[in-house]
Amino acid sequence: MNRKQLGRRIREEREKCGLTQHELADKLQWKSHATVVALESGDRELKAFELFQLSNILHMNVNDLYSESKTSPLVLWRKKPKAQRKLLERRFSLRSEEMNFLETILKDKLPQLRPLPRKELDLRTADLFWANELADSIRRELDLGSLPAATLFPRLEEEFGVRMFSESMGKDGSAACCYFSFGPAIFLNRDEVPWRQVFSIAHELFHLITWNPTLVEKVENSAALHRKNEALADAFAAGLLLPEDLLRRDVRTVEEAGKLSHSGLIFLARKYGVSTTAVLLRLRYLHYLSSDQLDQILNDQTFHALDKKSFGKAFDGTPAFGARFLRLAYRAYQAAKISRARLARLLETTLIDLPDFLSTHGFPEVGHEEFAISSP
Amino acid sequence: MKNLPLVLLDANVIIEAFRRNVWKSLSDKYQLFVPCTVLEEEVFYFQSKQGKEGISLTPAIEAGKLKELSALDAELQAFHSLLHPHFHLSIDPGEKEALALLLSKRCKDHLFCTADGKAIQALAILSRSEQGLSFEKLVKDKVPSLPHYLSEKWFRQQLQRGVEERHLWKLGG
Repeated sequence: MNRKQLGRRIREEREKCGLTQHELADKLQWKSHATVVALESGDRELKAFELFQLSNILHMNVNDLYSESKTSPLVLWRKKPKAQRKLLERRFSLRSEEMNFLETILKDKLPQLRPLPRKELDLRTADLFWANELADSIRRELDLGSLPAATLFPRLEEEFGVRMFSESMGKDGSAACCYFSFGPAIFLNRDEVPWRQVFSIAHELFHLITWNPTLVEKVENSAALHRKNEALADAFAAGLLLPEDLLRRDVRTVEEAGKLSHSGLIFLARKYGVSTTAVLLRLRYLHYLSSDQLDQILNDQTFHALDKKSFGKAFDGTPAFGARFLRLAYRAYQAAKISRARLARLLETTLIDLPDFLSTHGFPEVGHEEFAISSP
Repeated sequence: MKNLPLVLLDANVIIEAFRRNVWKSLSDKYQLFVPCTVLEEEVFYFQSKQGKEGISLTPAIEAGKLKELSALDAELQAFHSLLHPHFHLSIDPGEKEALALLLSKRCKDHLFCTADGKAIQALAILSRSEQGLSFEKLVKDKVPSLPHYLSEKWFRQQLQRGVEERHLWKLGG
């Protein structure tokens, strides 16, 4: 690839990221955007170091800069972040590809995963009742048990190979998902509290189960369809995380003469690992509350203050990746299938901090001492 | 002035040389080189018993004992064209730049001291095993409690693995 062709590729990828030449120059800490102009028109030679910086900013591998442009995968957002959406999508895509790479190089050594169930969604006929029925059947199929919030993340990651990543998205973004050519992935907002994230995983699971590229495209182009699809995903998530029979039983234990206290509500929310709002929405669906009552509680400032107070102050954000990603990266490194510096980068740490990082997560660096095992 | 052996260093090796307090002796024994990416992105501090201590390469650079080398895009592309794309995903930018430099004409007489299994394998895949050097061999003196990835034994194992897996990773060239 000559300088002009490379310049063209850089321009294509910059535009896909939604960055202007000025913004790219700023990110590269270049004094003037004229350097980016020269670069993109092939008038300036790039050093390897600059190319690595560029690929880092554009969230792509240098390999991909040296090949033809690829179509960006469709990413479905629960609530689109106002800023840097395209960059976040590329980050999500790159992290998922990295996971796929680890799975590929360790392929012979990994157990077979189960395919995620798939259901057809007809947005003209589907309603909340259908979404609830689907949640019940999926909870059984995934064997999520009586407290689904506790088992959902590991079950999806470990048994179904759903790639899980999180990124700081501030108050704007919530969660996204995509069915990549190599499999499903979920992207969470690291800044959200754990129970909000669990709800997001259940919500995104609905989209993955009903994923159909034609449908996703339609939904992305119609506000009404998007609203309906999101409402179904919310109903599915509430149904999945708050099983009807168990919730009814628990409501009986916390109600006092037909009344539910704020503390009772918090008790239910923490037990099921969801927000108090999710419990209220579920109670409405199960006819414990009327729409007016629900609106009244949701608009009550005292309730809101209470809900905020219950957000764990000690919460330090979700890890950037799931346990399976860490395990595969460690295994690939110990088998000398990836370099030490590559491992550090995949785990978002530095070479010097790598030993501590690994030890903290229970994965010390070891040599290649082996011992024999028998075949029972 | 005596011609010192020319040695290109990776980040692990620099960090370890500071940690074990052998940096000065290395810069006296060899003419050292560092890829620009390693210098700019990877070697800022090391972990000592007292905690994190900064790595300052400026004195060695000013004394001419350490030189920064920057690979050009064309050199990086030439390196990229020789290995399977998956291989490139398994190594980091600092190692890529070092290997691209090593394959260029200007570094044909340089040795490459690295502690990364995958980079060592790359040397063998690219038939450049003789340009590889382990940290243990670089330091020459007996160093106590070396982690496995700095040992000569590990280095040899990785070269052997590169030879065995050459058919999987080598493209054209």
